[in-house]
Amino acid sequence: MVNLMTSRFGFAVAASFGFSLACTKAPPPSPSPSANVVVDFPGTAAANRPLLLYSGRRGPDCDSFQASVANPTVTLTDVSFDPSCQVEIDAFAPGLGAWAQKIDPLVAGSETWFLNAIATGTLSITLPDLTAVPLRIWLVATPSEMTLAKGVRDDLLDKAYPILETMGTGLTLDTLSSDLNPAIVPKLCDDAPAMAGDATIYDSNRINVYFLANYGGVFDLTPAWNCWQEDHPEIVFISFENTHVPPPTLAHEVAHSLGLVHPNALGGHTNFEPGLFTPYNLMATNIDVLNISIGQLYALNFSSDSWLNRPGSTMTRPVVRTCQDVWGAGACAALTLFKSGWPP
Amino acid sequence: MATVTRARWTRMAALLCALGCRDVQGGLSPADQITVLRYLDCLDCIVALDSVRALALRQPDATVDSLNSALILGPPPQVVTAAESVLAIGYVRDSAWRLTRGLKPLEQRAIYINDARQGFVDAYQARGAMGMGWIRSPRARAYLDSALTRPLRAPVLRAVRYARDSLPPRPP
Repeated sequence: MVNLMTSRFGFAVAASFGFSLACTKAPPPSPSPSANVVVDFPGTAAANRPLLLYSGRRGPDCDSFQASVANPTVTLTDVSFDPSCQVEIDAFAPGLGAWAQKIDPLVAGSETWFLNAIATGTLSITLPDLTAVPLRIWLVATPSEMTLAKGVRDDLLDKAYPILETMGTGLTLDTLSSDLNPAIVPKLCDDAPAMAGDATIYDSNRINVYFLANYGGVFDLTPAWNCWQEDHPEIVFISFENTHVPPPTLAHEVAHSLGLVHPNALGGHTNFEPGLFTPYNLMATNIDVLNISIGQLYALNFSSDSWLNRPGSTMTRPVVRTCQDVWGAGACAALTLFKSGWPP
Repeated sequence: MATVTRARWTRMAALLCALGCRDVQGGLSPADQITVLRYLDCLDCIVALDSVRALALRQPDATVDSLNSALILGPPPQVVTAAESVLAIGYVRDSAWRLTRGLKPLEQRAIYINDARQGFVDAYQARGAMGMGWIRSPRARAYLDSALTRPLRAPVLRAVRYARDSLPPRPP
């Protein structure tokens, strides 16, 4: 509902304030009339209630990624359009794809949806279906190793699917599996650039996950490794002979592929960051995943570091931002941003 | 980690060690103890291992003592208890998800949690052995020799043997 009383009063105050300053300097641009905007989410229920992030003018403040949990709607109070305050709305829900809309100051008319919401007092957000992340799984194993390799692959997929689909990432997996002769596949990220040029062992349209006996050919060196430091985050190695390949390994490595590499100094890993993350975060745990921060959900879907948004991608989202290399806030939602009680 | 001050790092390490440093003791500062814990709990382990090896250049005996404690004692009981709770929550989530997809149910809860907990403990102990294998000081070798006489589980003993006999890898 548009709050006409507030908007008229606010406009009058702003106008008189501007007039009083007119003798000394030009007034700042006036925001649009303000309103309360009720956001609803068709197709959602209590079990998958959405989380909304609002960036834009609210009263005197320029909000940035303010989180609200739908119950079943979200009411954004005292909203107005101010070109000097970045406008973006994002929504996430378990079992559904991520949604985003922004105003691009360089694109005429891109503010129409927002002004309509202010004018009508309503905004209806229909979240899309889960985005299927295409994986090519390469089983790099001898015939005698193949049963073990497939078992580890299946265990990791059995864990990755529910993590991704139920914890608000907006993602699921679309997998293809192929066998490869270990003799022809490199074992180190040092070789990632060469691998990416060989169509017999690399699929340029998918994230490539190589299940090999041991990364680097060294037993128990590491359960897994992502080649993001070699500029190939779409290449992942998983060591099926390792003493223990933790169940969340595949979800964790795919998260690196999808942009969770900040702060670069820590490779996006959140363990031993008390006060910021719990030990059971997606980028920390070797036991199971109990949480993924809202900033991490945002980066997975909307960061330019996410493989989904790579140059030439056919999956580019309505919002793609170059995220900051720190835990805190910046162009993207802070990686440390959580909302109590969500996901439900 | 440029944004974290030394003071904050020290406080952080002290807090964490109150939870998890039973076996990462003796001669290491809180920050150094975190270096060892990062390796013992790692999933992407290469940088964590490099950090432990670098630590061993400065504090050879204390680092090896910590790794040996991890090998022999495993993770602290409260860490294992917390892991069981996490595994139980994950079991419920995954079971519900499988039900909605019409997939075969997971194995019984008790079996699932017991197997997963054992895998976590085995990995922690195996990392202790592998860390000593990479450091390869006389003290580390002696600990590995001694470990082979202990009643450790098969996957851990396999790691001990590999650490003693095959690390660091010979140049090709």
